[in-house]
Parts: sequence; C-alpha cells; structure tokens
Amino acid sequence: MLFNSFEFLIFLPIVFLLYWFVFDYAIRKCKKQLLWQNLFVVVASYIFYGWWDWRFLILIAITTILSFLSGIGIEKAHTQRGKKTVMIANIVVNLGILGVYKYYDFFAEQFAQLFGIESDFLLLHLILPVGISFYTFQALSYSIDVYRKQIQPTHDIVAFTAFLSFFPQLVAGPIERATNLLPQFQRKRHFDYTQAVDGMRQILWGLFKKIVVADNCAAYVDTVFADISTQSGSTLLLAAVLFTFQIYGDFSGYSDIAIGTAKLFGINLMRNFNVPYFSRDIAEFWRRWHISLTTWFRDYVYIPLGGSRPVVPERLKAKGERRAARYIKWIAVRNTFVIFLLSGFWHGANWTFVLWGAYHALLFVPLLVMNKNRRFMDDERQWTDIPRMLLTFVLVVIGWIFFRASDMASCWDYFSGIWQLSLFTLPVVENSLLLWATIAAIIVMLIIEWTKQLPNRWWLYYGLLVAIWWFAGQDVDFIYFQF
Amino acid sequence: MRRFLCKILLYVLPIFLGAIILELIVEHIPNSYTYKRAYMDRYADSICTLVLGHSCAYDGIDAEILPSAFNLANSSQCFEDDYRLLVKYLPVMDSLKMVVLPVSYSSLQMVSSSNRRAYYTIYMDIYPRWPISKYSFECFNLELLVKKCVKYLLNTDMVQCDSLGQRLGHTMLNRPIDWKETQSLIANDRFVGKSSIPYVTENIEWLHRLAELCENRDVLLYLVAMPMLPDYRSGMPMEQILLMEQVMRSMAQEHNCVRFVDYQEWGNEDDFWNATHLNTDGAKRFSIMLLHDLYNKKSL
Repeated sequence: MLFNSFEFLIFLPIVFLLYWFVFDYAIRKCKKQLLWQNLFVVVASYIFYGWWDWRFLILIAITTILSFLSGIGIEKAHTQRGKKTVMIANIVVNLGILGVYKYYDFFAEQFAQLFGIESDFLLLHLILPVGISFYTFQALSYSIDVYRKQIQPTHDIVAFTAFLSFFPQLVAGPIERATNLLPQFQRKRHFDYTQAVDGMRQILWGLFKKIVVADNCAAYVDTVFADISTQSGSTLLLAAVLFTFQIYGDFSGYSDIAIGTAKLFGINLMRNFNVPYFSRDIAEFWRRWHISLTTWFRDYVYIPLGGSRPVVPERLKAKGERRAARYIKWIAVRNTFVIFLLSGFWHGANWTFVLWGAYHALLFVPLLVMNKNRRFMDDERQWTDIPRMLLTFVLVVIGWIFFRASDMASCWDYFSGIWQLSLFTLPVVENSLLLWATIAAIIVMLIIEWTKQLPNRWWLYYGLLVAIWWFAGQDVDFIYFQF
Repeated sequence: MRRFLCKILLYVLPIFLGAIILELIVEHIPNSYTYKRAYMDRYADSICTLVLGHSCAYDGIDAEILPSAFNLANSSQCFEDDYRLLVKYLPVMDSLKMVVLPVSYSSLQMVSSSNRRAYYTIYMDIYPRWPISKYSFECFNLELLVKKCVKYLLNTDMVQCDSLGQRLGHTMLNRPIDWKETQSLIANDRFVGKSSIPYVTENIEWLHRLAELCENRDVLLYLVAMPMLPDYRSGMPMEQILLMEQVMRSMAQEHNCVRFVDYQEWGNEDDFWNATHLNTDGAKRFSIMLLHDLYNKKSL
C-alpha cells in the first residue's frame, strides 16, 4: 500500500495504537514484552508488504532466513576462510535473486538483439517485487558487518526479521545498517512525545513534497516525455527542471514519511537527503542525495576496492613516489567509475541509468583528481555560494534527463529537442494555474529546506494539510518503487 | 501518549468535520450520474436500445434518434463500469433488444480513476460502498469538491446532459479543431508498453462477461469503433490500433450476439469538437447513420 493511500490512512493508526497500547502498556510486565512487540512489527510489516502481492512475501522471507543464518554461520565458522565463504555465499545468493528478478529479462533482450534472434522464448516476464533492491542491500550489509565484526550476529530471528522488513523503510529505503537499526529492535522502546510529534511533522512535510510538489510536476513531465518529438525547446527544458523537483519531492518525501513513521514507533532511521539541490559542487551533491545508497556503495564497494587510498604494490613503490601517486589516483578514478556505474545500474535495467551514472562519474572525477572533492564539507552556505549552487543544479538537471528518458533514442531526441530556436519561445502549458501553483509549492519547499526546519506554527500545519487534501485525488506512484 | 493523541485530534478533527460537511453537501448536488440512475430506475423496462461506454458515446450518440434509446454512457466509463451497469439493470429491462458499446484506441487500457469510481459507488450504486474504501466518498478530492460546490452556488447546470442522456454544453458546439489539443490527446492516449498489459487482459475479460450477459438475454451487442479524425489516428501507434481491432473482431467471432462495426473513418472536420469527439451536429448525423446501419442491417 502507498503511504498516500486510503489503506495506509487506516493501517497506520491501527498499528500505532496496537503497538503502544497492547504491545507496550498492556503487557509491560510480561517478560517477553519485547518479543511480542517485535513480532507484531513483523506481522504488520508483512501485511503492509503483502498488500501489493502476497507472493512477494516468499522472497523477503527467503532473504531474511538466508541472511539470518549467514550471521550465525559466520560466527560459528572456525576459520577466517570459512567465515568469508559463508558471507560470500549469502551475497551471491541474494544478489542472484535480485539479478534474476531485476536484470535477467534485460540481458536476455540485449543478447537476443545482439545475435538477431527472437527474444520471447528467452524472457521470464518476472514481476519485479517492490523494494527488492532496498531490502537485499540491507540484508547484505548485515552479513558483511558481521564478517567485519562491526556487529555481533543476532540469534533473535524475530528482531532480525523486524529489522529487515520494518514497513516504513521496506519498499524505498532508507537502506538501513544493521549497526543502527538492529539494536533498536533489541531494546525496549518507550513512547516519546517529542519524537512522536517530530515524526508527525516529518510525515506531513513528506506528504506535502510528494502530493503537492512531485505529483503536480509529474502531470506536466509525463505528458512532455510521452511525446518528445512535438515539444518546443522551452517546453522540454521546463519539463526537465520540473522533473528535477518531481524526483526530489517524490523520493525525499517518501523518505520523510518513512523516517517520520518510524519515529512514531520509537525507531530512528538514518537521514536520506540533506537538501541536495543547495550543493555547491557535484561531490557535495553526492554526499547529500540518497545518502543511504551512496554510503552503502562507499562502505561495501568503494572502500573494499581500495577507495582513494589503495595499497600501492611494492614494485610500484620502488619506481618512485610520483609513480605511486599516479597509481593511487588511477585506482581512485577507477573505483569512482565503478560505484557510479553500479549505482546507475542499481536503479534499473536500462542503459539510460548506466549513462546517468557515467555522466555523474565524469563530473565527479575531475574534482577527485584535483583533490577538490572534499571542499564543501560544512553546512554553512552563504549568498555568495549561489552561482556555484546554480551551476551544480544545472548539471544535475542535465543528468536527470538521462534518468527519466525511456531509452537512449529518447535521450538523444530530448537533448536535440532542447537545442533549437523554440528554446527562446514560451513553453506550452495546458493548465497555467496548476503550473503556477506547483512553482509556488516548489518555492515554499526550497525556503523551508534552506532554513532547515518546519516552523512550529499551527497555521502552517493547517495550510500544508489543506494543500495535501486539495491535491490528494491524483493517483501517482512513487518513482522509486520501480527500483 | 494522551497529550500526543489530543494534539493529533486537535488538527485532524476540523479537517474531518469539514470533510463530512462537504461530502453531505456535494452528495445532494444533482449530476449526470444521479439523473441517469433516476431515469433508469423509472424507465429501464421501456428501453429498447441502451448506449454504454465512455465520452465518445456520451457526446457522439443522440438517443433521441434511435428507437426507445437511452444514453447511459459517461466520461471515462470503462468496461467494468459498463458490465456492472448492465448487471444491475438487465433484470428489469424487459424491452431491451440492443446494447451499443463504443470502443476507441485506449478503451482496452482504460480503468476507472478513483474519483470516477466514487461516482459509480455513491450515485449509481454499482460498487459496494461498504466496507469503506477510497471510492466510498468524494471528500478525498478537495479540489473537485470545492469546484462542484462553487459551480452549484453559481447556478451552473450540474446535470449537463439532455433528457435521454447525451452530453450538453459548450464543448458540443461546432468549433474549429485545436491541433495542439490533438497532439495532447495523442500523447495521453498512447499506451504502448508493458505497463498497460494487465489492464488489457482485465478489460478483455470484462468484454467477454458483457457479451455473455447479452447472449443469455438474447440481446445484440454492437461494438462500435467510433469516428476520429485522421490526424489523431495517424499519431497513434499502429500496434495499439491493431490490438483494438483484433480484439473486437475476435469478440464478434466468439460470441453470436456480438457485432463489430467500424466507423473510424466516418465524418469530416466539421463533425468534431476535438479529434475524437463528435459535436452536436456530428452526433446527429452519426446517430442517423447508426439507426440505418444497426436497425436496417441487423436481424432480430
């Protein structure tokens, strides 16, 4: 069920009230109170997930059991090699499941096209389970962290299942680390008024970003992208900018709802977005966008590959410092490309996502080579940073065109469509009132995110509620559900 | 916890009360659905020709011209809606001889949006209102609610159809075709790709059920490919056009009571108010032709 659906509006209060009144207050003196509360979280999460398709539950159950057993297997293995084998086996099986469901048909089609054969008999037509990319990565992080001894393996299958299937973050993240989330299911939670109120405010803000900003941008963007060849350059440009806000409103809105919902249950999830469109360069953008995924790739791919400080082979060290320094730079560049391409491919089985990843890698690498990728580590933006922010924003908008286009040909059509004389005409707008309302909502969103907090004013909360209610009639999916 | 729940109620209660009040107001505003339901409840037993389907039929078929006909079509009415309407009224339609169901290039991919499904639930009672769902009330869409209330207060005609169910309004008047709008229509109606496949399968199933209902009652079901302008047809993907034609032809082959008639190339620019919908004059001409073709050519 979607967060902005009627079913969730009924589901959440029931689960919230049962969670605190039955599985906390009512059985507080019971020795197994925590077990029962976690079990309730599992049941509620499986109901939430199974609402899409009950068959999806089989896969997440398999991933849960395999990852749980891998943690115990790593603990019980006597040798380091044995531990590594168990970890690798878990990674291979889980990535294998993900690979089959997400990428098999894509590669089968590419193979068929390459050899000019009929692809129908090769395809499996598997339905992509919602959230599989997210919970698979979450499960992998557990077994890797156990292997690295960053966390003790749990013997509590209920707590582990609750960690992996916790419904607020199950289908579109944040991709939680076991070191953060699992311990929260292993200790008692107590209702915290401030945390709960904060959670409600975050849910409200997330719904505003999704329903008022993202869904209204989608109304314009979808029409333009459905028929690129007939659009003027200015229309294409406007749609690209609106998509930039659509994907941010959609994804960060979802994350806010997820984090806010988790707070209602006394659980703290990691921050997933940190006002990325105010970034001063691409490196900062990638520290602020989809933080849970980028840090996942950093910790489990980039650093194991050597990161930006690989071990220099002795034979190169012998050839001098400059040679060694060049080697380090080359490895850092290679690793950067690897994680950006993987990140692109993670988003979906389409070359446009890989192209998007490669584009960002090409933007990032010069900063890395010039040692300027850590220039803007602070959060203190000045008005003088605005030109840099605008340039970064433009570069990001260009990247989103690759991301949104349905295929490479559409990508090319889109860019060539922008660069024509009609770029200097007014964009075609069917519903100008709606467009201006959307722009106003985007401005409100940017102002509040620049100030980093939602002012505690009842009139603002009512205003957001009415705006959400006004636009709630649209049926638009979350973009990241397709990943 | 008590403080938290009180705070939530403080914010939610005014919204909730406002929603109830608006819902009560808007459910008392007459509309085409309430009119058509009242007509069917009263005169269903005297109808010989029933027109179902979406806006192409709502605009394009003048029931005054067909014998003892009524236009039960409505905007974005999908095959499931048509089926459920027929299930509800067929038992009392003793005089029914023919059902006219228009089809277009996007019919197979069409499903009800939530606010339209709510109209069929609340006003036509063809979907269950309980247990409660997002289709049970109109109040989930504040924008539409407010617009309806404002129009009603400004004495706008809310029913917007004539006595036999055909749409009335400024859109039906003759006017030059807006070619930019045609491009928008094409963009909106293109459904090529995997995402539409589940709806196609479902809609074919609903068509079969409609045909079986008609077969059991010895009623003819005419699947009518409605007229559209050549520019619109040429902008649609060929596979989508062929899919519609293939499905309709196979329906006619599989069911004795089903006939497929193709009027896609009928008419000229003066007959349309947009690329896919006939205007008042065009609807009259088309209905006269339909009368001749369906009533003279069919065998009862």
